[in-house]
Amino acid sequence: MTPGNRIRFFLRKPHNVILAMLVVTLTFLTLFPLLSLARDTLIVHPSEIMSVKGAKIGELTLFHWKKVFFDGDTSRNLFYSPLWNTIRVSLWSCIIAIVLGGSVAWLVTRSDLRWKPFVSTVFIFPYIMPSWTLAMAWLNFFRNRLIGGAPGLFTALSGIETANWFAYGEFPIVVVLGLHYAPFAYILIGGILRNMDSNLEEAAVILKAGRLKILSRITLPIVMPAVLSTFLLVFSSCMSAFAVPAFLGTPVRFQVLTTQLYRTLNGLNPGYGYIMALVMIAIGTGILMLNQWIIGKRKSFTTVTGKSSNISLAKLKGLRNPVSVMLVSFVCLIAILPLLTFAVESFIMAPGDYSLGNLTTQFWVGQGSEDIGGGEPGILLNKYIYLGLWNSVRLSVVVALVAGTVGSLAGYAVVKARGTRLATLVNNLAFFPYLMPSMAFAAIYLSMFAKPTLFIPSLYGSFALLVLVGAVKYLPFASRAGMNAMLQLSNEIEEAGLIIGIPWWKRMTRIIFPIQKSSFLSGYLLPFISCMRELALFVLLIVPANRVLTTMLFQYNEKGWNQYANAINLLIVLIVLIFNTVINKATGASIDKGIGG
Amino acid sequence: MPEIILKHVSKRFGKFVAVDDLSMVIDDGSFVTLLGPSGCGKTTTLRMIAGLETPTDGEISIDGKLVFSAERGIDVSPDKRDVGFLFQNYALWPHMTVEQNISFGLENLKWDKARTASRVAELLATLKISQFGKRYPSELSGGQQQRVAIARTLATGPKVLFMDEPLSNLDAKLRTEMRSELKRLHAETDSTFVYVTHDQLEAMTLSTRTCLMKEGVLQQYAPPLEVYHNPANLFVADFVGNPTMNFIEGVGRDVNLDEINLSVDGLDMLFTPISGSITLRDNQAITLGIRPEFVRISGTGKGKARVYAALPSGMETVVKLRSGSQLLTSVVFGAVDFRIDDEVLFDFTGESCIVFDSESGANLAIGTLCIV
Amino acid sequence: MKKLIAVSLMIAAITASAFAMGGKEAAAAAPEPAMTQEQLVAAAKAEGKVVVYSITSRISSAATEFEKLYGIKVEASNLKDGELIEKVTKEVGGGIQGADFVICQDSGRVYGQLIATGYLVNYVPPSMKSIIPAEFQNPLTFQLINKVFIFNSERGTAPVIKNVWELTEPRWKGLVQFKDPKAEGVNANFLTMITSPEWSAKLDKAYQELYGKKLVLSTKNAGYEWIKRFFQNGLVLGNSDTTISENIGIKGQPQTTMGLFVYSKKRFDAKKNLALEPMTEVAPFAGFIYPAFLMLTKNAAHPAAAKLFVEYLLTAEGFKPWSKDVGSYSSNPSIAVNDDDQPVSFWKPRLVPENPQYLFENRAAVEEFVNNITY
Repeated sequence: MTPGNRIRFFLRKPHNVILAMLVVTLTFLTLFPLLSLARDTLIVHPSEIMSVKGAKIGELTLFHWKKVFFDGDTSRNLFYSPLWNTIRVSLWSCIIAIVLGGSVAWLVTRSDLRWKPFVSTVFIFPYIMPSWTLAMAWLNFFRNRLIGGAPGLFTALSGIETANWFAYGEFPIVVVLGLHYAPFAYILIGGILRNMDSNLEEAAVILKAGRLKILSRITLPIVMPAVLSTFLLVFSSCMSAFAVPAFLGTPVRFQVLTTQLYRTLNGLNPGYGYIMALVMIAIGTGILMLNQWIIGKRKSFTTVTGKSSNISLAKLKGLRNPVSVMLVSFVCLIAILPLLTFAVESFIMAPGDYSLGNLTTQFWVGQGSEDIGGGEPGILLNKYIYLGLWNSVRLSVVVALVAGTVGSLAGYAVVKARGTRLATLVNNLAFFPYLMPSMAFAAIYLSMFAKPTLFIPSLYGSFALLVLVGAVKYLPFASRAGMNAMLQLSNEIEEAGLIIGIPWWKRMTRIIFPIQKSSFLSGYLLPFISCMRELALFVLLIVPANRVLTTMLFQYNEKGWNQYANAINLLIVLIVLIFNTVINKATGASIDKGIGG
Repeated sequence: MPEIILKHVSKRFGKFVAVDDLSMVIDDGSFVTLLGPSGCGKTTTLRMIAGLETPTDGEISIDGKLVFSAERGIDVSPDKRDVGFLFQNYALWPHMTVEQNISFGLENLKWDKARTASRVAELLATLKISQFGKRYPSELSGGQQQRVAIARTLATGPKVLFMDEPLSNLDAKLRTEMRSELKRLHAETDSTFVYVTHDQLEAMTLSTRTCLMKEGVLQQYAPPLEVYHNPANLFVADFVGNPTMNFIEGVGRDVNLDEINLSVDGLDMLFTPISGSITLRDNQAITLGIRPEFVRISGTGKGKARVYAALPSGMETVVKLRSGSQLLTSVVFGAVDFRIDDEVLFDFTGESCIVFDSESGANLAIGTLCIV
Repeated sequence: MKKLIAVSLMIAAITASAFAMGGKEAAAAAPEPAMTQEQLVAAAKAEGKVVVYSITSRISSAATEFEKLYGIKVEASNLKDGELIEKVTKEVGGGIQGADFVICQDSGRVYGQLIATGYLVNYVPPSMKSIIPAEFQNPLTFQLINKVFIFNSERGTAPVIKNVWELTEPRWKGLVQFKDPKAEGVNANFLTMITSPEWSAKLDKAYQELYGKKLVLSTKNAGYEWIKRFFQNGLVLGNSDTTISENIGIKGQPQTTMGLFVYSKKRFDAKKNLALEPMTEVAPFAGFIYPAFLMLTKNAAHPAAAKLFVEYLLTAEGFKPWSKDVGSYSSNPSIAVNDDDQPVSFWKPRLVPENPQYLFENRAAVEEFVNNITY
């Protein structure tokens, strides 16, 4: 066969065309920026002319590398101690997330717990809500006088002054991140438990193994590879978390890599930041490779258990009611109470004073007053809030459309060409953004698109850049959803259409998409929700003209305008929850479908 | 001696009734199959006896010991019922080797190492899987996994063995082979086997007694040949036997005291019960059931039919005949070549033709049928 | 195989072009024709819009008035100083039209990163050339801002310290607040300035005056030494002067607290029920003072409207959002200082000023020093 014919035959298959296009674009959007980032660690940036003595902007230098890795105290403060902090925080958060999420998953899937629908719905709220939600709630409750001023609700109600280690820094960060990612662990582990054949446990019961023995010798070893993979995913998520350490760590100057990245990129030494971004990506990639390896091993496990039969529920017996009541209260505590504190805080005039006389609607519908928050009107009358809201929604919709569509196509093409090297390449490229911490990813795009690149003009500050970074960052969710959808669909379905001559786009829109509607739509929903609540990805890229709600919230919080921040947060949380529920009810798409792995 | 008694056992999942008021006695040393279409409650029944499922109502006792009573609040956990359970998908633990899988139960009985090892070796030999001891289940074929599962179940020497469609994941050849193995095993272990299947052939060939269920209700509990020859109702008659029983529907008429005359499609038939008598109400709709082996094609037959299709399988040939609007199935021994649409003569033989009440499906009488 | 070669070729091409960063900036703007005031107003109205980045949030009040006056839409954004400098660098450097003009601070960086590169263009409205003192004309200063030691005056208004070295004593441990110098450049500038020979000598002298003995150094000079002891005495670093002012001013605290923050926050006293009192007589300084500059961007999309707004901000009316409170001092000497405040001439000798040249050369070192003792 001549090479020309081979290419022609190759390109006759639509999925090959998609794959070829994706290889080119994704290489450009994920691998190429890495090079740009690497270059940025080696040059003098405009703000560094004060630090790198006698250098000109754009010159090559090893200054950043030297400072970050080999400069005694400076390196320790700048890089090593934040790195250890990051690793410690991530590890502990992971453990909390997995133990908590795993226990709830077991209770919901394997026991006769009461009120399961309520628990399983509300327990994932903290994950749907922005990550700083719990951090803000924590501060609302437990802030003390360390940062001066009014103590939080807890002290106001109980009179007990909270200790510093309890109110700020490592401990609350670990707890809050753990709680935030517990639902994530719950979704993943719940999926495993649901798919694990309960016969495996019953066989052990029949053979007279005790409960503990069954758990330690049968259940845990079987789910362990999956739990380990969950652990790694949660670990990498914790590592890339920015908002929570930013909110809770700053008062006691507890730094992790992300906050350090933010500080350096916004400070005088972006070169340091770019190096840290590179380190974080390296760690993320390492984690993914480890994960792939573990999943690869797990395959042999899953094939053994055929279809899963009906699951018999463990009886909690006497503990049934206490456990159920405790779990429901706990779920309310972490998912509903924070919302109440936002509401309360946003109606208070002088912080820390929770008496009735101190209530005000100033921060919702008040006219601007010079004395408060620099003259900003209440958020419902504030045109900038509406601008931010409009930007948020617009951005999320566009990102969801782009990521969802590209992801569906990628899923389609990868599944169709399963096993080929090209498909594997596209699959990996499409998943790559997942392991890049949002902040590092934004840093890359900042470094790459802040100047004209190839035929692309400088995109700095443009809406297009936000769309681009969002779409690429959330592509993994969408391509996962697309692949799941396609894997469930037998090839014959499409071939039946092909035989009677239905063109490709019509097969896609009239046959494949409608059949797997809810799975594909999940691939749109997840980017949408993630985008609505994203901070770390946008905070470096946003300019005033296209600021979104989350970055406004962050600014208000930085300025210490607590009431506005709480009000905006409440707004974001409600929007996200409402969108999620409506889309879920209307289409059956759900946030947990995309991540299931 | 392990005798299993079920008294008025019911199981409801919400509003759905999986098992409805089931009472039966499983004799010691018997091989009982629970047979029925999927969703009939047979697996649920088995799991209830094993203790993996909790009945909603009723009582179960094993070996004279009450293991479950809804009224008295007794629910003995599965590990205390001294039973073995063979799962449909084997439920082998993927992270343990074959030996570890088999020895796990012995470990729980606190057997010492040497004794465990010799027992495992013995079982591996019995089931002809000695060479696979160190392998993991995922490295075995379906049939080998099946043997491991059996070995694991037998290891602790349970007196009662429950099996939930253990052969359904095997291919046809292996299945036939495993059937005889199971039957030998039953004889050698001297245990009571309770076996769930939806395959009537399996039930026929294996069991000493068959319990046929439909929608949670017991239909017939009898030795397989009795079920075959004297089914309790239309459902049982139809479910058991392959090729399936012929059914001719019509309105019968009492003649000669205890005989019935039935005319369908120009076929005039006379039914004579072999014992007792039968009396029909006026215009009672009845269904005649004739096993294919009792439809005989011969030159002397009084019935006329045309060959609709012939399906030779070597040892026997299944012939479909069309007589008027009726399609009848006949089985002829040996490979006989029939040409489609040829005219043949046939009659009914044997003493196992059955009259069912069309409405209730009940078996009214068994007897001979001849064409007049 | 073919496609693999093609792909790798493409990657190579992309890589090459990435490293060959072209500095193709648009040619410098054409010389501007002089405009009469009427022409300027007409041109500004034709542009219809103006975008401003500002380090002071009160720009939004001025913007509202300006909109009313000329019918020109204002998009005002309040940014932190470092953030503003980065955005302007990226936008002007990347050829993107963002802000038309800015109100910025942090002179060391502004000189080095924005003025030396030509990203910001100085513009003094003709009507102001004769009014504004020459020292404030290049770059054009919008206002001076001061940050002073302010304490909680619930237990009395008498000054609680007389010498900055008192703040390094255990008595004040954990009770003093200061905005994180990482979060605001001018705070880092202040710290940098006191390490200068002039101010470190003054600190050295103040130490001897207070304790009657010589300061023993563990660092380079008295400036560094004070910074170290000040920070290590449980200094609370905040993210916002507003929060700090609330933290300090809130009534009912068990101990008297104090902070070094923007004097203008004293304006919250009444409305927020705070008790804030500044100190003016502290040796050798009662705080620091720094300029905010008012400059056009090189690639302003609405230059005429920007010029008009700049001019407006230099008038008494345009400066009203600031002048009605203490702590803001217009570069226009004809705008009177708030009645409750003192003129710049009063503050100057008591506060640490900025020296752009010294800042540019030493700021990085001081920041690194501060980082190492705080984080």
